[in-house]
Amino acid sequence: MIQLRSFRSKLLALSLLAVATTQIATYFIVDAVSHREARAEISENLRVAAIAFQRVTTERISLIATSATAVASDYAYRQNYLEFIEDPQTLQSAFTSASARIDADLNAWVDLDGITVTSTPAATDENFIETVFRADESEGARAFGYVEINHELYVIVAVPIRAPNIGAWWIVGSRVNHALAITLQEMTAIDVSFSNTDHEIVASSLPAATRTSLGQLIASLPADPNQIHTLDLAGESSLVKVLPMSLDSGATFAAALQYSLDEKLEPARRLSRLILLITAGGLALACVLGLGFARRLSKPIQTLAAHTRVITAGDYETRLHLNRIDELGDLANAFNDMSSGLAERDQVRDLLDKNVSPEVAAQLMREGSGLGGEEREVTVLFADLRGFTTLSENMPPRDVVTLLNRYLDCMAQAIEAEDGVIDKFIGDEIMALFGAPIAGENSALRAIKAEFATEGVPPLEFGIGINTAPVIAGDIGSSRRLNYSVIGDGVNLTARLQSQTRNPEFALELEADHFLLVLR
Amino acid sequence: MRFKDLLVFALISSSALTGLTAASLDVTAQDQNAKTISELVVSLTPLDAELPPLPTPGSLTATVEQKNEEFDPYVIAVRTGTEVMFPNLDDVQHHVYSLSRPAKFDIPLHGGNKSKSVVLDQAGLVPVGCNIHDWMLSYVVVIDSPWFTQTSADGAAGLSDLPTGRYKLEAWHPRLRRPHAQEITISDASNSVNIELRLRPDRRIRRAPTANGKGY
Repeated sequence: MIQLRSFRSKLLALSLLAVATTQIATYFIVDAVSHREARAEISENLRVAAIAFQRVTTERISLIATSATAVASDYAYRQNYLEFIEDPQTLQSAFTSASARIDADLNAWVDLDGITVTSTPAATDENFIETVFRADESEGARAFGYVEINHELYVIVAVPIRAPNIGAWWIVGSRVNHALAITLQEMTAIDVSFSNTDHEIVASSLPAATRTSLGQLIASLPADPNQIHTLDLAGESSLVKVLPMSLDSGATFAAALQYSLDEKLEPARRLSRLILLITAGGLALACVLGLGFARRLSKPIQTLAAHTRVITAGDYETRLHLNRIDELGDLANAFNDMSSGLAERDQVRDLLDKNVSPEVAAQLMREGSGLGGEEREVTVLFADLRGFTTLSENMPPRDVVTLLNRYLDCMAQAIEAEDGVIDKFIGDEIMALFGAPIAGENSALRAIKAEFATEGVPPLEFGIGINTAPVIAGDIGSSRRLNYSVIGDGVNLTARLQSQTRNPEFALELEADHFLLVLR
Repeated sequence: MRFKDLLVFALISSSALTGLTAASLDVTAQDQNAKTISELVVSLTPLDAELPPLPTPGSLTATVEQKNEEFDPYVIAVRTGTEVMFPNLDDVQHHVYSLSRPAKFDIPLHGGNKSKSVVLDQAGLVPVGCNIHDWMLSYVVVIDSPWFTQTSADGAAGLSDLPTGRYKLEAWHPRLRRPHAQEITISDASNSVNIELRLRPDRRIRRAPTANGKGY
């Protein structure tokens, strides 16, 4: 199984498959229907031709019969026929002239006993006796029949010589020849061939090559009017119906009616060729259209894929421009909206990081904000600059802010280094928490370590209050403005502890793992 | 009953009264379909005795009329030597002829009720036609024997004054392929014979339709 990797080739293959299937199905259906129709039409034609054949031969011989009757009624012939019948030579010569008048190919006399008195071409009593008998028994005193004389076929008629009663039978006949076959062919558009009892074709409307070809096969074809044979005649496919024709002798000869299937199918073949041409054209068109469409579809998808990689790299500023109003256009717009969303979120995160501690920011980003809190043990640290008010009075404000920022920055770094969280800056005062919002071990010790880390950094003096106490920690404020903070007695105590550092009578002493506030 | 039959009846009656030995024969005829055959000519020829002498030619007469462009009668049996007259009762002319061996004659175009006659002095079948009307046909059966008759429409005929003895019975009809012949012995006062014959179709030429629509 061929795996088509690209969307474009899949689409192309699909459209080609659709076109090809439709066209090929059409081709085969048209071909099958044409064949069936052609066969049905030919068999109908053959049926009609068989009727026409009987009709034409009957009419032709009727014409001869009528002419013969007219000639036989000639009083001179009537007067003399009895003498003639005693003198066959004179009879033959007289009636050869008479038969020439009516364009007959065969001319014979049979007496009332069925004896052939004379015949041209030479014939025996057996040739005509059957026809004469039928004529004698018929009301119209006339009968038709087929005879074979010297391998030639004749259609004959027996007419009576009345003087005035029936005194003898005159047999006139027409040879079954090419001219007759051609006449039939012209009437019915069906080729006709006649074969004698030796299966030799004696008359045919077919061209010589086809005639020879049929001649080789005709002996093997059963003469069944209900059967239609499909034969290859001189390279041409033909449908042939063989009609059995009875001779007066009891033997049969055959009339083969033939129609070229190839000829009949020619219009259908032209149609098939046209369909093939249309198929080829359709496939080419499907190819071009499919390619174009696939390109139009796959190109923006590739662009989208490329743009995704841009976004993955963190570029939220570049926008995708597909200039389409379809679903892909919607997709591009959604991508652009997504880029905007991502950029906004980044900005929010940045701002949050600056305004709240990274830990709080992370918690907010993760869990969102909500009023309420929890009780936990937190170490609170308060640190306040000494003499800042005096200092700020003697310095330009910009320098004061620079100094203050530098101080606060150093303090914040030290606190954050020990996993402390700046709760807020209150002017030059810092409130920091250890153990909230993320509980940590030895938060008190960390707070002290943080203080000591800051020791001596700025040439400034400041007081620190540290206290570990259970407090309520959480987002505190209104629904529009929240602060993560802690409240409780421990916080107030810490603030007071810090303010007590202004009192020179107290000092902080470290003993074992905790500090002691001692009176100096 | 026709006059002839009456005459026969009278003759039979008179011979019985006078005591003469004469017998009669009743003939009936049917075809292959058991239909009665009319116009059948039946004749008897004695096998053991001489035929009575022929009458003087012209002493007997018969008539075949040309009426309404037909011959009437269609079949007639006459004794040899009978003079047959062919009167033309039509307004149109006729050309009566026969090409038969017993009597070959030709009465050229004639009209106006002029009676032409022919003496038929040889036994045999004399078909008579009209050269200008192909359908006109009549058969005159000329018989040497004095004992002959024709069946009527009911297929029956009778013969009387027959000396007893053996006879050759012959029957002829236009629709017979061959004349029929059989031997018959007349021994009693009244004899009968039934003849079954195979008839062919009537093959007469169809009469051309005329102005008054007549035809076969």
